[in-house]
Formats: sequence, structure tokens, C-alpha cells
Amino acid sequence: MKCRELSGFVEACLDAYIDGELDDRECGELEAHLSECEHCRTAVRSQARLKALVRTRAAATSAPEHLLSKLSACLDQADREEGTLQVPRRSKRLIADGGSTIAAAVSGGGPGWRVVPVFASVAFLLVFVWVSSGGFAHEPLVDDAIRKHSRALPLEVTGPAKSLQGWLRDKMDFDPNVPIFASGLDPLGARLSHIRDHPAAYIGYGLAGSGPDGERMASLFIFSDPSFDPSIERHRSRRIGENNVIVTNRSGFNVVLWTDGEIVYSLVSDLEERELLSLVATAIR
Amino acid sequence: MARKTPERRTNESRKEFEALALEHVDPLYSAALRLTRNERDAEDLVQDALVRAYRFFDRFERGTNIKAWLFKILTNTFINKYRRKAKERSVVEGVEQQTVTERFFSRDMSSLSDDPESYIFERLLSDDVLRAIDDLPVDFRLVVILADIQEFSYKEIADIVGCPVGTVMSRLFRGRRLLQKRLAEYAMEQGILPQEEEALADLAKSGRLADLSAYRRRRYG
Repeated sequence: MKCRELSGFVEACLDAYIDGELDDRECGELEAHLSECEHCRTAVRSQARLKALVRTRAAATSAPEHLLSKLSACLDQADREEGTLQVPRRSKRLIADGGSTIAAAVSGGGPGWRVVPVFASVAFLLVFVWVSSGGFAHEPLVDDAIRKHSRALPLEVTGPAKSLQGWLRDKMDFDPNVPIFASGLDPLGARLSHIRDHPAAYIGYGLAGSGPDGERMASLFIFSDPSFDPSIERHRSRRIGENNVIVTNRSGFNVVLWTDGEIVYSLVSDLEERELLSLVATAIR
Repeated sequence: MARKTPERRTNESRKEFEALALEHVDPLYSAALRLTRNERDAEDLVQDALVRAYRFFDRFERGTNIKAWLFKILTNTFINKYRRKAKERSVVEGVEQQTVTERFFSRDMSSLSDDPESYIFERLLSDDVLRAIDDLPVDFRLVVILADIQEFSYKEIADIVGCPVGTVMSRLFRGRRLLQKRLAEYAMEQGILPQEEEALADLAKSGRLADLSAYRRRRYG
């Protein structure tokens, strides 16, 4: 085979050949050509030499001694932080917040409590009105979500996303979708909750396989709010595929909000913003 | 089965992390140094990446390639935090043992006329090679580091960097040609190679990139 005919092949395969990435058939073809072609042999040799030069002259540098001891200290710090993030289990199942009057009316304990979400609008004495006035208008919603995330609300029901979804749809006035995030962040379980005066589905997320007692890496609140207007948070808006999401950070937590019609999804986490956004991207279309 | 206390869980997983991950500190530091071009940032980058890896150690699938996993975290951490503050200053390390005389007149080395490329390569210092690598645009530099210094496969590099294998190949091809060109320039600067040498022109010429997958499709159907 003439070199000129194969020159495209050699160009394309040269680096791959030296890197050991060609399959047997391609190797055979190339080597057959190389045995007959001085020009291409030289080219291969040249590239191989460059690679060897880089490997030997830029050989891995040893990390300085003090780096290892610094690392030890950092890992110790991470261990300590682990400890403080473990929220102690509440012995009570019912949360003392805006729903306290309802809580008194409900007998405690056990998964599958039958309180219908409509209670919140009846029992809630505070009528919350806020006016969009620059700043972050949805602040109270976000703050409430953060507070509840920090408390690591006890889960009423555990199981895979599908069963949680079935349980929630049974209980809520609207149809919440339990998002499935890629990369090992799994739903640990769900409960009924509320955000401000909105009945909300709560889903706690943790590391895959960590079980219901696993650390709560993220909390998702799903509620219906026709007055929620994402367009007023334009400066916090990000685009993920076809969707716009709102990103904010308060009290050291990152919160991502998105809507599906009148349904609002509010995801709170102490994961880094970028990572949180890429997780959200895997779940919403 | 009795549930472990949080403290016991932490101790065991810390020991496991130290056993599995810390042996890769040197290659991680080396790559961090080439990426940030600054010793202090390199240390901070390695620290940040390893703390992150520790925090998410539960997500690491035991039995899979931990080095690739750590490098992926390092790469992401670099892109998120350090890429923007890449310093101009290049790090020059190591003391070249050979004297000037040995560099130019050693009998074991190639002569210029026989083998110009070897001639040049053998006389370049580690400093020169590092400087040439550090001068590469960061996208090319990253794949050259991963392929030629850390010896990851194309697929592993694609996973680490988060791009298709074709992109890895393209960046590697272009990165290496740029590197060659740069080294030839250094050789000229240092007088290893006379400026009018024709061999230099051959070395500095960058090749045309052919698309391997398109070729394969055409050829093998």
C-alpha cells in the first residue's frame, strides 16, 4: 500500500497507535504499512520519542512533606463537621411550627397519618402577604425550606422513588413528581410538610445506599403556589436545558427552585452550587 | 445487626480512605502543579480535592479505579475554583545534573546530522519540558498530563475531563504538536540548534488532524 493512500490513516492512527488504543486489526494494518514506509516509520518514532521525553522529564513530582500533615488536619476537620451535621432525632413526630394547632388535633406516631393537607389553610392564623420589593421576594419560602432541611425532618415513609410518589399523590391535592437525580443521590423517604402556608410534599435525599438514617444531603419541598412568579427573580435565574431555575444561597445553603405549572419545587442542600445544578439538570427535562 | 455509632462509622471510613486514597497524593500534586503553575495553589487544590473526595467517599464504588475517580474530582475542583486564578509564573524545579559540556559533547548522544530530533531532545532540560507543558493552553495541558504523565487510557481521560473520546484525541494530537513546536523553539533560543537548521522546520510543522472515527467508518463500514 502506498503511503499517500494511507496517509490519512497514519495521521489519524499515529497517536492512537503509540498510546496503545488501536485494536488488533488496526494495529496489523498500520504495522504492515510501517514495514514498507520509511516516512511513516519516522513519524511514529518521532511521536513516541516526544511521549517518552514528557514521561521521563516531567515525571511525577513528590508532594511536599507538610502537605500530608495539612491533609490530616483537613480530614480531621471534615470529621468534626460530620458530627455537627448529624441532627439529633426528635422524639416527637410532630413539628412545632405553624402547624402546631393541627398537631394537637392529630394523634401522634406511625407512618401513614391521615391528616388531609387542607388543614393548613384552616388552622393557619397568619395570613402571609408579601410584596415584591426588589431583593429576593421569595425569601420567606426559602428560609422556611432551609429551616426544615436543617432539622432533618423524620421521614414518614421510606422506599424507592416510585412508591414515595404513590404515597404522596395519595395525600396531596396535586401530583408531585419525585425527581430522580443521577450520581448516587437517592430519595431516603418522604413526609407531609408545609412551606409557609402551603401544604408540601417533603422528600429527603441522601447518598445511595445510606438508608433512612443516612445523612440528609438535600431536601426537596413540592407545593402548589399559583402566585409564585419566577420571572421576578431574573437575576438569579439560570437555564438548564429547556427550563429556567432560580438559584440562591442563604445561611450557607444552596437552594434551587423551579416550577412545573403552578407546582413549585424547592431543593435545599449544602452541596456546592455547581454540583447541585448539575444534579438538578439530570432530573428535570 | 447493631447499628454503628456515628463516631465508629467515621473512624473506619477515615482509615479506609487513608489506605486507598493517600497513596495517590504525589501524582495528584504533580498534576495540580502543572495545572495551577504555582506551588501554593497546587497544595490548596490537592487539599480541596481530597477533602471533597473524603466527603463523598461513600459514592466511590469499591473495586473500581480510585485513581481515575480522584483525578476526576481534582479536575472538577480545578475547573470550579482555580482555573480563573491561574498564575502567570511558571514553576521551575529540579536541578539538572549534567554540566554544559556534557550536554553538548557527550559521545553517547546523537549528533545533529544523524538524528536531529534526538539531538535536541537529549539536550533539553527538565525545566524546558516543564516550561513547554506549562505554556500549553490549559485544555491541552490537562489531557497531555493525563495521557503522557499519568498514563490514563482515552476512555478514562474522557471520563475524568467529561468530554467525548474524540475530543480527547483531538486535544492530545494538537497539544503534542504544540509541545513539539515549543520545544524546537527553546532549542533555537538556547543555541542547541542553529536557527537556519532545516530539521527544525520539519519538527515545528504541525500535522493535519484526520478524524479517526470518520476514517474507521469509511474503511470498515
